[in-house]
Amino acid sequence: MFVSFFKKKKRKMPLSGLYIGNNWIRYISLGWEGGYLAVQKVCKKTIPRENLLFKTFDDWVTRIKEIKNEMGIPHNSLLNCALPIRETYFETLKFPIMQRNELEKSIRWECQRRLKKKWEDLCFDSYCYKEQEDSSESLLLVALTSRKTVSKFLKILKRCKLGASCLEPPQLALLRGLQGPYQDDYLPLSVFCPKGNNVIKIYISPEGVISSELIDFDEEGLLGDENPYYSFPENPHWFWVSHALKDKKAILKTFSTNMRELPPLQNMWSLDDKGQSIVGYEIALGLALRDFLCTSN
Amino acid sequence: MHIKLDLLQSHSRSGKTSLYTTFKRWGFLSFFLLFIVTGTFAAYNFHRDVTEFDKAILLKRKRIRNLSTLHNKLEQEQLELREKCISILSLMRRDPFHYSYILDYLLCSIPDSVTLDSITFTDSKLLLIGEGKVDEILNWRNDMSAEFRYIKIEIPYFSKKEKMHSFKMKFLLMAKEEKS
Repeated sequence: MFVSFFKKKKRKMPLSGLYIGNNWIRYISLGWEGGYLAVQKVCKKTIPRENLLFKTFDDWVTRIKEIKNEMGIPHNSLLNCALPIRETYFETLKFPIMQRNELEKSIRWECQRRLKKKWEDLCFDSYCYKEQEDSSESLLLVALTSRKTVSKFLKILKRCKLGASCLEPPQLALLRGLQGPYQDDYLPLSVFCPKGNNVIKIYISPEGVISSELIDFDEEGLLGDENPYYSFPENPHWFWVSHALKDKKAILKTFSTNMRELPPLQNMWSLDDKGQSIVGYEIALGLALRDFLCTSN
Repeated sequence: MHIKLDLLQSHSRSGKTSLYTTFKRWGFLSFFLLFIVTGTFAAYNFHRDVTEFDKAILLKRKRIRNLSTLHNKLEQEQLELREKCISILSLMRRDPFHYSYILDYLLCSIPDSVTLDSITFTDSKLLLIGEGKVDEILNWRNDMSAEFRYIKIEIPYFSKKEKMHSFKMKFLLMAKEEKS
């Protein structure tokens, strides 16, 4: 009794995701119903029209409060959150094998060089892939975002009486949602996301190594005569994040027609969507599924 | 997916260790401002103390000057008083109507035949009443006239009485004009 009295209350890990997209704020909440994972609540709101993210503080607070009230999210709930793809740098970097201190310095230098920002102004997280014995280089998955943006976002959440249990790179959340519950069912996988007039291609190799590349793209296809992305015989699965059919056709035209499009997410995850469409909620779903394995156990 | 990244950890972790960054950004400025404020305060206090000290020194000097002036004045007064006393004393010594001197002289030079019945003093005259021989009385008077040249000696009453003559001798102080 005393043990349970003094035992620290373990917070229940959330199965909900909040994604601040380019045009929409999307929220999804999952739950268990009859032994199956089910979509409980889905909501989206347009973002305030502004050039800079979180520029108009009160408008953002209003939007998120609306979602909170409509979805009945209790006070001080923790949500898995993600900022827009364009605000997050996500890449696998290669470094020669070196000592830990040197590697840290190299990462800092490389990140500062690529983002042209001071290290103190960046939020950083990384994942080191397992090195093979004969490998002469180490692979490091790096995620970066502006500290100022994160601070603003946290202030907005605090004003709305909400909390962030994590701030995950949206690319990673997207891949988690698309890979399915058994992870290697659909590998290798290519995901195409629009970014302005260009397209970001996120690719997971059969070994699970992620790479991200920016591709010059228009409706006619890839720009330039010689392009290494033109054929992907090893890329049987693909997914187009934007749901514009025109662009989808252009991608198919440009890339290998042998590629197989991923099945709908609700089928992949055997989700009971209760008639609610979760198209466009890929990243929010990935965020909600972040602790899926933990909770299912 | 087994990979999990969280940018929030870096944010909160560096939030804890951002004291160095904060100090780096604002430390110098705050220390500089602190230095300026304390320096100004110290300079103001120092200036105030020095001004007060100067004022105190000036006041002391003024008091010392006053005291020295007073001392000189008193010394001067003392000197003046002393000179006045000396002059008075010398004047008294030189005064022809100085009774003690006159009496001394009278007692020393009184003739054998003369007996004095009374000596009367007033401010400006001395009256002797007695009897004696005529010639001794007159000689005595002549001697005293020679001695006290500024005193007029008169014998208003002189009468024979058997062998001796009774007399009255008046000593009068002459006026200054008469003295000169």
